[in-house]
Amino acid sequence: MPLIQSSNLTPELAAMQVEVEEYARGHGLDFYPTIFELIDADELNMIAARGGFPTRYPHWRFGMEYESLSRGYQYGLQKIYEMVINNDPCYAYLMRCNGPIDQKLVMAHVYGHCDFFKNNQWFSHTSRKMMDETANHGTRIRKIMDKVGVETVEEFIDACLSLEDLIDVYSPHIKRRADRKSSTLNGEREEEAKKPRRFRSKDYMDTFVNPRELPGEKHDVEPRKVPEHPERDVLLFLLEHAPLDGWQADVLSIIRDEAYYFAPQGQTKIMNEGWASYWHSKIMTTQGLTTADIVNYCDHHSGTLASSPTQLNPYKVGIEMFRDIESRWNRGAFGREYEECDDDAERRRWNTNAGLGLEKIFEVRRIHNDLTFIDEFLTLDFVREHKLFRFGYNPGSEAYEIESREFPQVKQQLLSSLTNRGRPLISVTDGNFRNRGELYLKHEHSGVDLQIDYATDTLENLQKLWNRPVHLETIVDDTKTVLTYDGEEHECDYGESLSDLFDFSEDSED
Amino acid sequence: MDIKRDQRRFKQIVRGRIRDNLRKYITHGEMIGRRGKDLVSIPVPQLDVPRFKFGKNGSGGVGQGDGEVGSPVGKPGQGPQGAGGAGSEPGSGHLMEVEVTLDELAEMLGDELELPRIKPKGNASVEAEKSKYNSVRQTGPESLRHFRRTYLRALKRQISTGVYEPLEPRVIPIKADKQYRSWNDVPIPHVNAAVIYMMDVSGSMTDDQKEIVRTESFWIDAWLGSQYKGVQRRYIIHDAVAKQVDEHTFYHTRESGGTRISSAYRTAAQLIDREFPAELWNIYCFQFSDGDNWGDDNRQAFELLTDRLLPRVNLFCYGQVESPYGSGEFLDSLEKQFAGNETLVLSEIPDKDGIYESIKTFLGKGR
Amino acid sequence: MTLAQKLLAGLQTSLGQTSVALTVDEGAREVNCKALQCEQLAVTVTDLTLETSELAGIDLPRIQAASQALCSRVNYLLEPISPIETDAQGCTVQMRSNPPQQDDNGCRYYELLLRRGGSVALHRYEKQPGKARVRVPAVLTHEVLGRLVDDFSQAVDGI
Repeated sequence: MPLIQSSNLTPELAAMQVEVEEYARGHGLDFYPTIFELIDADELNMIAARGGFPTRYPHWRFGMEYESLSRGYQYGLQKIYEMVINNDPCYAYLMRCNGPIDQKLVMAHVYGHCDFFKNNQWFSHTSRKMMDETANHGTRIRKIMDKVGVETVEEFIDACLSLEDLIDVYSPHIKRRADRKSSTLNGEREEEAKKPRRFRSKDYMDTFVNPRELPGEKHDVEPRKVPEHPERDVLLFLLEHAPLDGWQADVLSIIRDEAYYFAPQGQTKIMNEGWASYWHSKIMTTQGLTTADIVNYCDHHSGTLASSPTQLNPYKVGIEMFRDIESRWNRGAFGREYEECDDDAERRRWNTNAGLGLEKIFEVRRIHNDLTFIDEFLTLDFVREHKLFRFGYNPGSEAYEIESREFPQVKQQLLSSLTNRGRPLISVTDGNFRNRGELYLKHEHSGVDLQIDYATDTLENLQKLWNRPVHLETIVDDTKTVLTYDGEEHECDYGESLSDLFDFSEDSED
Repeated sequence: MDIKRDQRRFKQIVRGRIRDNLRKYITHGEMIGRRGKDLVSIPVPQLDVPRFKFGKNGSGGVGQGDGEVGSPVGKPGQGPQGAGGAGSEPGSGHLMEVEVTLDELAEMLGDELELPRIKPKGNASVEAEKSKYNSVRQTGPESLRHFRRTYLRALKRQISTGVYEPLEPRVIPIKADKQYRSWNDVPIPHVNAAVIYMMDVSGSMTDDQKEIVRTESFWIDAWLGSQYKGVQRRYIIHDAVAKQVDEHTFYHTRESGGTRISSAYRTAAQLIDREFPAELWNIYCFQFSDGDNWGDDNRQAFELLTDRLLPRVNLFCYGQVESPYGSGEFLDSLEKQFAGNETLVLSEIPDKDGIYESIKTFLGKGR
Repeated sequence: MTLAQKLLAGLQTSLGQTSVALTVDEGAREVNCKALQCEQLAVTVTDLTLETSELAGIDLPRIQAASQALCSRVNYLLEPISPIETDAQGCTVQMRSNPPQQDDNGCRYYELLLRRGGSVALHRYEKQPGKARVRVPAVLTHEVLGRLVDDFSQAVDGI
């Protein structure tokens, strides 16, 4: 399928687009030029399988998504009403089979998304030319496959995908790759023959200033600390230090670029869907519908907002939160005085006619992501009114159960699951572990253990790139655990205590 | 659109998955659904790229709706982040239905159980045994192969070649362990083949045993179907009296008469006389019973076997299943009476897990 | 004295003995009981049979009816009994524990055979996984033995 150059809308739909776009701009929404493409259900599945892009690099996972979507196995609640691409111009798809009311609703919804992509600061560093770039990525990888072999490349991609979460979503900008020639740890190992540097020091301080060697290690070389600080952008670290062939580095950097592109979408799902729903609702109810249409609209609208018992519906929670914020800022229900007011009734009656609602939500959509959004704006009243609860797995009954409806618990759980897009925080702490060029990662444990079998499998993939032994330090059942894979065997050091390694009571040799 | 390419690749990998788990599918034949004459559907867990992720005790979340504290909620979906877009994981834990042709399935079975191709008797060309397993297929789900499987295979290999040192257990999976065996394409001879299934449906045979028979016969049919073009199938049920029936009746009948196995043999022999002259047909018999034959019937049964069945068939397989009362003495008696007879193959199938071995025993002769 | 009473009396005299074989009769009926041990509380029975010529010309439906009746009466053993297979040719009904006793070590069950000719016989079997089925003794109290013989008689009466 060729890149979408121009839209194929019918005259009616084209006119509808003009109309809806005018409404959207009238409300203050700001977006790149937007192109709608009319497609059928099967094409939508193909595009959805590729994350919304008409073309991606060849890989079985897209085939699997397509297979699954074709058979109607839906993931979670999200039905594919629309797919909007963060790009300049914005691309969006309309289903051929939808009636005019639905098309209008989708258009209004899409403009909400486009505004969000353009204005939310967490997207400010994403490429706006991703349409072209994904095509380019596809071409590059196909060329590599031609040269090196389809399966070799595919296996390598599988290994990279295993690690694609290991980027730094909180860094203010995407770090560019350092010059590879200067720091290939593994390659330079053999040439090293430096004398260890010893500082003069008082005896009792010596073991701290001149660290004792690890037992069994007779190396004279002083260990170099790379990275200097724990590095969350593990993919970057690999790009800079792993012994990769040229084509491998190419592929890995493509995967990394795409991961960074998609990351903010994962971080802003609730807000983005809420924002888009807010606007389609507003436009449709104030401008888009005749009375006859209302029924149809409600049907479609409620479909997006339907709840499932376990899954938080981001559309619903998002839109309700925005409405809540708007209402509160309209009536001045914020700030120190309001926060300090204890009287429920008074809080409910509170109205200073501040009228700041609209302004506030525009500001919110600009600066927050889901984590800060929830942190700042989720209220007790909201939790109660929308019947939010926290659920968890009960190993006794082997089922998921409602654990609590208390505001602090619910909020805390939500914040946890939103942190780092619900993935564990993992950093490289040492690229020269044991002074043998081994890779050491650390999981910043925040109360939840890793799934160990997945972790060991992932370590295998990591080792494929690093070539030397790799380690992951984590906590399992409150005990420090180090998983190791050396290319042939897995090891698990459970409960190793640091004091076994270092004995500070003896004098050091000098 | 080249998503089809990705889809094909995915299906290829899934087939590899099915192969890897074929033993499970053999044992739990009920998992396989029929989709028409030559197609079956097999549930396969969705493929997952491993990642660092939280374990079960972290898979809680926030939901909305009614319910008391402590009440159950359905299995969570992808969590508050929802799905969609690249960068989200494929649905782990979901099952996909994959369609496979019977011939493909038979091929996997042959690989898994290392079944020799059948050498039909008579005028058909005889295939050299060497035609199997010469080519090594390069494709396969390498990237998804779990470490432990490769390790175990390497270990087995080392033990069998005498290389393994228990004190120095460094097992190194060599490339050969990671490859798939496959057929060279050999033309299927055009000869006639018939298979006769016999089952004891007397009071002591319950539904569990019938399930086992059904599963086993499914695989036998698939295998024979891949070895011959067009196989005639006949079904005989018996208690003290035997009758020929259709496939559905075969699996859904229960009688309360006593067990006289000779009745089934007699009916089978008559059937062969009538429809399948031995010079023109490759005949296969598979008989299942719990082995609790009544009193003096053994004598007649053995006579029929000796005079009218064994001389005519390529293969006569007796599978003894276990009823709630255990199994009887028929198998032991057969063993004593027919020791050394190459046409008769005996196998015990104590439970579902025995199906795998039983199929291997029955079909492992290449007859 | 009924057959049952005669048997019980005979058992009393055999208390403390091993490898006991008792025969008592009443009219056309004869009861044979073989036991490995005969104690005060219980008898380790390997064979309990009632034989009679009264069942000589019996047809199948009557034998079947009798076996049903027998099963519903004999509800005091370790497991309930029901008819499992009927051999028309030999005009015999095989009744067994339903369900048999099952555990990790295999299964155990009673088998009652009601034969035209004829006889009523009780045995017990055990099948361990991987081994052949074997007959095992049934440990029965004197009281139960008595009831069994009574019920066997009743079964024949009813035909």
